[in-house]
Amino acid sequence: MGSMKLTRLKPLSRHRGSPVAERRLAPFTGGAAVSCACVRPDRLAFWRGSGGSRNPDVPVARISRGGGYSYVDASFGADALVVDHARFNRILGFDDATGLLTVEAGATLGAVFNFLHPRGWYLPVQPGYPLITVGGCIAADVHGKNPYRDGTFRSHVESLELHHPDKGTFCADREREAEVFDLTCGGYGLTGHIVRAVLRAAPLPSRTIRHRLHPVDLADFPKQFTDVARTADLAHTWQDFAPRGAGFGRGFIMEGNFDPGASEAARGPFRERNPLTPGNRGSWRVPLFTPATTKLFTAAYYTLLRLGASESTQCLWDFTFPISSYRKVYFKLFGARGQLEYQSLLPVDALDEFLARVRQWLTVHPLPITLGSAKLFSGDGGLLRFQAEGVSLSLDFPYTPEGEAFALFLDGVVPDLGGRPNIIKDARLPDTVVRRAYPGYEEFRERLHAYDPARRFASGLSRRLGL
Amino acid sequence: MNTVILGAGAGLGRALAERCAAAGHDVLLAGGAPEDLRAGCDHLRTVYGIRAVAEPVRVGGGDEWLNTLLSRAADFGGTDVLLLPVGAVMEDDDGTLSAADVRRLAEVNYLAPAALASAVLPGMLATGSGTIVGFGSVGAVRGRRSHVGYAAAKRALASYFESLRHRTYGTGVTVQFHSLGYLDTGNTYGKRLPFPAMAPDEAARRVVQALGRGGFSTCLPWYWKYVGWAVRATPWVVYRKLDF
Repeated sequence: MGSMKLTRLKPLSRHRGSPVAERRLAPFTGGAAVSCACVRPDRLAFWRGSGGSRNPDVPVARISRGGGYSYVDASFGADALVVDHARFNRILGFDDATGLLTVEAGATLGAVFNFLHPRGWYLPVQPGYPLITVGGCIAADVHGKNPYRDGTFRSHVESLELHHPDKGTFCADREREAEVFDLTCGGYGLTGHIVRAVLRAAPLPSRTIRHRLHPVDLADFPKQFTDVARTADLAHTWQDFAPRGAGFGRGFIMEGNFDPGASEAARGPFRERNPLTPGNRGSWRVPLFTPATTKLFTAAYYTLLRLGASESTQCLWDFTFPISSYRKVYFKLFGARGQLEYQSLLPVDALDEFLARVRQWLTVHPLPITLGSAKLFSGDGGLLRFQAEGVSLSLDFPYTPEGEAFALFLDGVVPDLGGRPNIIKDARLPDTVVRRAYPGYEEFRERLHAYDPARRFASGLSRRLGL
Repeated sequence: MNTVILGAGAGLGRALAERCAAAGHDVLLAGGAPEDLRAGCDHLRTVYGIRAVAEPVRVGGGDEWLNTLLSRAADFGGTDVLLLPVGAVMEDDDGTLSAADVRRLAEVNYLAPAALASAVLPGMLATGSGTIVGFGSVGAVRGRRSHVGYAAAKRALASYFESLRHRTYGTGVTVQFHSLGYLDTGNTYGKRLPFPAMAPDEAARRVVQALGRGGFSTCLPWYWKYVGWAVRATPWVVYRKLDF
């Protein structure tokens, strides 16, 4: 399951001058691979003109693809032409008075970081791997290390340049084409190809993060965590849900604050060595996360943290991109079959009940939980966005029948408690759960169909969710 | 240092522009679609703070493109380094192309880079400095069944650069020539290849690294040198059966 093989090329088809290849694509974390028609244009003429492809070998529907790090089938589909933005990765302009940064959608977070960092700027919202693209962040409206304070990625998007085969290429922001701008941010690529974006960077308070660990107080966890997260620059937890006894949920709140007083940290540029890619994620065929080994791994990591310093400093790159280090091996430990991540955003007062139900389930149905991590959120994203008042909790586990059964269990629990699962994290999430958990589902669907009646954009995700 | 790159819109040319800019060169990007060159210049100016200008000439059809480019280069401040990654292939280039297509392949792959090099050389000889870099193909080591016109043009270019090397010996002008294997560009995307395709950025890194070091020719990647020997050494009775 989950391969990235480039397979036999048919007698070359072309789409707008770019060769079309057949590739097998799968979600980053594993799952069934599907054969897709793909193009990787490298000239801006690809975005010119309107009208669909006249080549009968090329699917009519299409979808953009960035780095391919999504955990779900959002950037590919069996009946969609996958447009790879790898060659549209340039940084086109920067206003150092306002922090407005213009980039092509294929620009990676790492490249943006390396550009902004020495100039004393940064993007407040960034997911944890540097090869994720800006376009992917916009399409999924991702969150970073402090969603409570910084919101989600769209909070830092000023404008977009979008291409739609029927509507051409046009600009959209909160005033011009506001409807499509709103739909596109967190629209999973279903409104068009994001060609370029203008982002608003923030002045960098410091290149050093002072890192502080607070042992989790399980008896008072929701309050303890929210008290820290409300005032910290960055906050999330690492928790161990492998033990079933008194240790269930033990861990640390990881608080980070910019430290202007610290001595100057390295300015970079920082490199991602031996990058983790969709192609090599599953290269360790045999999974090493079993119930027994998971307990050992998590216990060892817990002990490492407990015995280590409660305060330390980190450069911003390491804190922003924790996976860009030895930790990337974590994904390989799941082997070829991969992992599932169930990330739920729950009302704060539902967290205890959620954890109690999860603990009860796991006691009866043992399953190695390899990672648990919480973040505090605020606001209400609407539509299909993963944003609401509450606490998100991510649970990682192997993609096995037991794991699928656990995910099915959570499909019922999360909406019951007024929460919502993260659409971009679970490749088997059924549409029935999303309709139930996201009050904005119907609104998103209606607005999308009104904007694009021909439904030019589709993916495995959009088909699965009935969009 | 001013670097002029002909064929800078995509692929190796774009990667060379990035590496040169990273090394502090001011760059003139030529030969490509205007929007691609503009985006390239915007990127290089923004990221590296160097001067970057675009001249979207289309080679061929007379000398107008050459005169335009030379004028632009003069305005730019002259040419210290000339990189010539310009090239074009046609998928049905099997010896049956129309005359116009045969001329086009010859124009883009040989005549245009040779013409530009010839035009720039006198200035370099006068100052006793400068570097001219050409790019060939390992597919041109021997006549072949496919890419007939392309291979012929690249072989001509290789001969031209060998002569240029001889001509410039002892003058202070450096001439270099790189024979390229498969590069991961639009030309190879999706194709099943007998050898891995090299990332354009890696090829560009090696080319720019070699600029200050002298030496004449390389194969990129290195093992194509031995593949080329093997191809040339293969007896006709065997070679004629190869789909190469």
